[in-house]
Amino acid sequence: MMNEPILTIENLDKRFGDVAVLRGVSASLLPGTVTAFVGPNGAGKTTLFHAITGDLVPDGGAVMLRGNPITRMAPWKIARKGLGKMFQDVRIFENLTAIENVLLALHDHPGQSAWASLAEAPFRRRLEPGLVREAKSWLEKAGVEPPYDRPAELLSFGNKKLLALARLMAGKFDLLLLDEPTAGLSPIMVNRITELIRQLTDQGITIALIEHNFSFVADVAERAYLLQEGQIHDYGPTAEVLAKEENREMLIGL
Amino acid sequence: MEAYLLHLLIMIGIYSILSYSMNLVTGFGGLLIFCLAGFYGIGAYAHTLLQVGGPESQFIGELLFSAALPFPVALLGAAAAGGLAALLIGSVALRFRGDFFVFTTLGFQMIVFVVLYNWTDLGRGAFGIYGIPRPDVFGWEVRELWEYVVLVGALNALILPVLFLLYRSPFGLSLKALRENERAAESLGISAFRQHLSALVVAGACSGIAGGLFASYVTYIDPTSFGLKESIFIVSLLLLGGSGNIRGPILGVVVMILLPEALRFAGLPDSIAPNMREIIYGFTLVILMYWRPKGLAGDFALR
Ligand SMILES: Nc1ncnc2c1ncn2[C@@H]1O[C@H](COP(=O)(O)OP(=O)(O)OP(=O)(O)O)[C@@H](O)[C@H]1O
Ligand SMILES: [Mg+2]
Repeated sequence: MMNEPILTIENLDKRFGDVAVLRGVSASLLPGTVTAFVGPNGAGKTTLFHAITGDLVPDGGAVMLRGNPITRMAPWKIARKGLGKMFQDVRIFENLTAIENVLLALHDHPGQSAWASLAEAPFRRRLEPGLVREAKSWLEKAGVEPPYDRPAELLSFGNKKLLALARLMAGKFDLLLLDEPTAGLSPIMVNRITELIRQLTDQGITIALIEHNFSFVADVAERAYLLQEGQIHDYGPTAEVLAKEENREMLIGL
Repeated sequence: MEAYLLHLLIMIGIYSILSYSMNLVTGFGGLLIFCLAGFYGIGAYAHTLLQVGGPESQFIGELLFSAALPFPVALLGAAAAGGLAALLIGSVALRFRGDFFVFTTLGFQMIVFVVLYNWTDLGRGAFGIYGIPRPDVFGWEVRELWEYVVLVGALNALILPVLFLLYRSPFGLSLKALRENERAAESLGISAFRQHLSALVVAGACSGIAGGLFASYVTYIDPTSFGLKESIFIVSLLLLGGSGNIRGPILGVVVMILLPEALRFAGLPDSIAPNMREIIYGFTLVILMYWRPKGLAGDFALR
């Protein structure tokens, strides 16, 4: 069935000391859709994403990717199962070039062993141009501003976010978690990101995103979860969740 | 004078293997380790024990283990011993991050020294092992200094290209990514543990070979050559020359090995020279850390 969720979160709990940041959060993502997680600052949205990707170990509950448990699995293993993410603070490799940033996500490149690297060395001269060309094409698709052979720290903040997206596109992940992809971006950049997200979902990629920009959320997300104080407060079609008066009060104070 | 220059060349050759090994772990992987001299020493002892045995050994009944294997085999044994030691320490230390990791490598370095120093049945402790055979490489008897220069040069020509290939490979790139941001690298499917452990094992094996070369050159070893001070010296090679590329480590080696000699030529009496050297090392490093945290020619600041 098309409508089997690709990711299921069951009763996730996370506490920091004696503060319960996630309290029995359950949610699911349908393949090929965009799902938004909205909620006030400190509601636990980033923590939820980290608990899914293995960056934080939840205290209770389970995360299933295509029906298989990934709870407590190492982040790199989860990534290899096709789950990619963009951090709230972006985290590109600042001292590597834009091309190198993307190369790291290509094919079997991430985590190639020392032995495989040595075995491949005689063919590198032949392989490399193709890989670099592919990396460049992802950068172009994402709309990152050239040149691509300078340290990525020289890119503007918006371009860094595009680079992070290019990396995810190159990695062929089929599920992406994006933590505030439009935060700090100009309207033009936001439009570009909207466009990219449409392209990705057209290819069947599933996306979950955290956002405070509600017009963007209304634009791209079919469904929305409203998270408040570590609990799911509401869930449904985005327009409905954003329209409810009590939700609006919580989100924008109106 | 000529002999003296050849000797310096040999030492530069041995240390260049060490600093390029360290460069893989520290310059690329971003892991500061204080145990490279441990791998170096384990390689030296493994090589020695694999060579000084046999029916004519001076140490019959004294050593727990010894053999009389050909030089190339002993050198491979040194590589295996260094690599194995690195695998062991890496599996433990890489469970930790940051300062704890560094301290674990420091602890390992101290353990290696204490074991070599006190386990007399293993390597005669403080007495050291003398009479280590000079190399016999497939019939080529290395006896003259210039022959050592050729041998050390040949091993550099074998080992360094492998390390340089690794620097430039996808493996090397993943190490650089881990150095920059481990979380982000893992989010792309790169295992920090595996990549760091591989880097350590490669560095351990290469350092082991350097140890074997050293032993067969000086023909006498004792634990004092492989203590914490030596590890710090190797770290300082990278601090000074710079790391994360190819020109930094060799620059560090050349400067650090020639500097004390230059001081001697500058006319410092032998009674003061050694102390002055250390003071100048110290000052150089402090000044460098202040003005050039990346070293003279490095791509990566060790901080
Ligand atoms: N490592 C941590 N240790 C202790 N408390 C933490 C930690 N990480 C997050 N918290 C706390 O957990 C709560 C939820 O944080 P989280 O980052 O998940 O919020 P968020 O919904 O993403 O907020 P924002 O919209 O501001 O990004 C906050 O009160 C935060 O202070
Ligand atoms: Mg957040």
